Amino acid sequence: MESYPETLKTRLHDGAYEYRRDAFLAFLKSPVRDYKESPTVKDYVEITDKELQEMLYGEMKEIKESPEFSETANIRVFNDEIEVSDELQKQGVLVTSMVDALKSQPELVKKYVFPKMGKERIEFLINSSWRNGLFIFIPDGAKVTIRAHTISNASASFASKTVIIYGKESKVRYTDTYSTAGQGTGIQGKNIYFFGEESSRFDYLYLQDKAEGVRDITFVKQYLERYAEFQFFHINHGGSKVLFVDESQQIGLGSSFRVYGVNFSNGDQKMDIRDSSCQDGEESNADIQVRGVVTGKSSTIHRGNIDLEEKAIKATGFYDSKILLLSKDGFANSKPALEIKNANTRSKHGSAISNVDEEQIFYLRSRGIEDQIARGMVTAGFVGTMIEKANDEEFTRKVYQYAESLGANAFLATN
Amino acid sequence: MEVEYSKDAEMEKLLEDLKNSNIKKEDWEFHDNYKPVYSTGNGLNRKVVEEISDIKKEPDWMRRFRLKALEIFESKPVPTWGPDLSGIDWENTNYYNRPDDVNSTKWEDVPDEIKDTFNKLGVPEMEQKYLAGSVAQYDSEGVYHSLKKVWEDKGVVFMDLDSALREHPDLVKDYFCKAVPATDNKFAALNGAVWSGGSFLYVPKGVQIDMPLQTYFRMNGEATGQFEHTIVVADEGSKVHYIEGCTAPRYDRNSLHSAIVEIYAKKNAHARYTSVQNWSKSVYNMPTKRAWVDENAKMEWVGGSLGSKVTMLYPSSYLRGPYATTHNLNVSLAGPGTVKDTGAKALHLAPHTSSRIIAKSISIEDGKAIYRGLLRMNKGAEHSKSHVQCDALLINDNSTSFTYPHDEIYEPTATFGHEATVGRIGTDELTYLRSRGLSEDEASSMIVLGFLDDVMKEIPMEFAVEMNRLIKLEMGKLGAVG
Repeated sequence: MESYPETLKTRLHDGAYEYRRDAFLAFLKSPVRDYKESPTVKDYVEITDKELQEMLYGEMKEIKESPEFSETANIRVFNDEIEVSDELQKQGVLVTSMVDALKSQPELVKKYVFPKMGKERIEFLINSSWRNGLFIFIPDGAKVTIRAHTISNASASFASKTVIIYGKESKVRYTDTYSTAGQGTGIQGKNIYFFGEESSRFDYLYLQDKAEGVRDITFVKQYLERYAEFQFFHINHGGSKVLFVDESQQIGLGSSFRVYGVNFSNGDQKMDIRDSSCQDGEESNADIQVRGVVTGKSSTIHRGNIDLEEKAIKATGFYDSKILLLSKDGFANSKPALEIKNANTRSKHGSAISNVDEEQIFYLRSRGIEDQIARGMVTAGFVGTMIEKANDEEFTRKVYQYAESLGANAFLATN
Repeated sequence: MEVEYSKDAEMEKLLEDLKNSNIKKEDWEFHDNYKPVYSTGNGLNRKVVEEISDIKKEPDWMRRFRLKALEIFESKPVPTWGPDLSGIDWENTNYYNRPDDVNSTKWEDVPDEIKDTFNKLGVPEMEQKYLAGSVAQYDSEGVYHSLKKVWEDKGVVFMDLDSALREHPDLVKDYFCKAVPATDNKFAALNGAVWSGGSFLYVPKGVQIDMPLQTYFRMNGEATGQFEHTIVVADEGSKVHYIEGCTAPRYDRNSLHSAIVEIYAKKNAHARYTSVQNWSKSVYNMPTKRAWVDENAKMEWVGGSLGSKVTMLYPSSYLRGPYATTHNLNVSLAGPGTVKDTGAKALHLAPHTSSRIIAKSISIEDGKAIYRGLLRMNKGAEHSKSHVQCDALLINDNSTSFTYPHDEIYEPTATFGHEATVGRIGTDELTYLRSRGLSEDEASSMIVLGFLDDVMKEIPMEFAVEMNRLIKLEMGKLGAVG
């Protein structure tokens, strides 16, 4: 893998070569974790270097039929092709691929993309090897609704990078769905970076519903300036191994970060869902709530780190994780952390793991509802309350559908 | 003669003394110039380990065990996931210091200088008043042990581990390094290789000791290590409360304390282990403490980590039998320039087990308090319950606090909850107290002690007073509390 910069020169030769090379060096420098997190494995979702290599050298693959996009989508992405509705362009929103942005928006790229190298090992690697992705620029004061749908071949392995910059006092609502066509075991990595200018507001709804075998790695970062608000709803449903890392970088005074996350792990899936805040800004606040549902032989780990830096006077940070462990062979894990470097702050975390409350089941059963349906209803309520806050019909419907369709196997042997 | 003893009156008297006295930290950071009669010198190698074994005239199995542990110690790297341990000078640490040839059951036989030390620390006084037995350890060896006759008659064994190895070799062999094998971690392996002293307490079936038993550890030498190994066995249906206290003088060169505590709570037994460590700020404190808790047994850990430069301490309970329970209460005080990496572990291995962990930490000035814990519910630990709570209080602007709990649940019928808070002394509370005529120092001390109340209630009186005193001292030194 060490010879990758040579490959970069020939394969992905573009204006970002130096950035890619530096990111790759950072990847090489960052140590592989050598201590074990649990008695049996090093990481709960272990992504080996061999798998990463697959991602580095992978190619896009065509599919037999034309991709089925959501009807409401106004940005449609399939492999390297991007289709943007006219209405967005009329509103002054710039949507282009990352590759094109390097040529057409060198100033913006220099200002926003190049300085941000990332923090984690795999994140560095994605920053060095991305081959496509979106570059979106939303001007100051704009009010925009974006619905993006990205489809890829399930057997394709690749990395992508998306950068979204939104101006002062802009208000954006962005629905982002990732799905795959066909079956396959591709390894697909993506970095999604947001840059929120002063007093902006961004509602981001993220849904990952890829095919069963796909290994999905996602890094989301929000750079929030003064009084920027970011509300994040995320749903992770598909994939075989899911590593989802979300971390706010709250630089600005009074910036606000809210996360409502839901994940379902089923069958043999392994999910590592990390939501963290890194707060530098005074009076910044973060409130993270994550819910997980574990069925079959799957495993879910929730990690969250509230990091209040020395400068973050009067900042607050809260993290809350709850996991429903529904099956006998499932495994749930939580690892919240607080890193508090300033005493003039408030922070708290809580986590809970258990099965559904038998009293609630009893109540529903006494009203004539079958056991399995009753359990589905309680589960749906548990995760539904998170996503309902987003006020998005499609997303709410999806979450209920996922919860209620867990199937009889999900609840087997829970008595 | 038994002394009439009332806890409330005693508490009041001690608090009164405290008000009037002008106690300084130097009161227990003194050291005496007692020369050890035997020392292996600096550094650690096969020869040193064999030498220790020879001096102690140990059975062959123990000698082989030590050498094996040394190999393990040498093969394991220094852990890097926690606080910085680069200050441990492995080469120049003295691994074995024998203070005297005496190990007596009579207080009079103890050499005067050592006796003075323990007198200053108030050990004999405590024994007389409210202990069923005690062991005193000075550097590497126990110098004194006693047990009230009434318990001796019932078959209770309480002495330092070296004496126990001579007098009850089979009993010791049954429990030695079973809960904490040398392969557990680098410091456990080190202890396995050079252990010396520590207590051995065996409480036979059905014997319920209603007074606590105590060991007091004192480290005197500079750049020495203390590696005691303590084993507490509470046999079926028995009850015991065992207390440990530790102090050391302050030196410029760092000392190392790497102990092992193994507790075996058999079926229906109730074991309670209390320790208050007040090592001076040149000590690296790296003990491994673990309990095996069998069916329907109860294990309680109560701990106060006040002193030391760096402490890494995670008392753990392995709940092995159904209906076993464990409670863990821990207070740590990270004073200026110190790191307290403390926490607790509970492993639920059987159905209907329960655990409760409460950890409170206070960071003063640039002190760093870290909670690191593990809660594991294995498959088959049906209907087990656990609750973990860790709270941190930050006193100054530059105080820091970190919380890293780790919760692994493999069992769907288990219930688990965890919560943590970090905050500083509220100005509202301070204003309220000050408006009632309290000085700022008094007000903040009161808030801090209120924060620790849950734990203070569980700590034996003499230690609670000691902790109150220490906390007030640490806070008072700052002047600008709040």
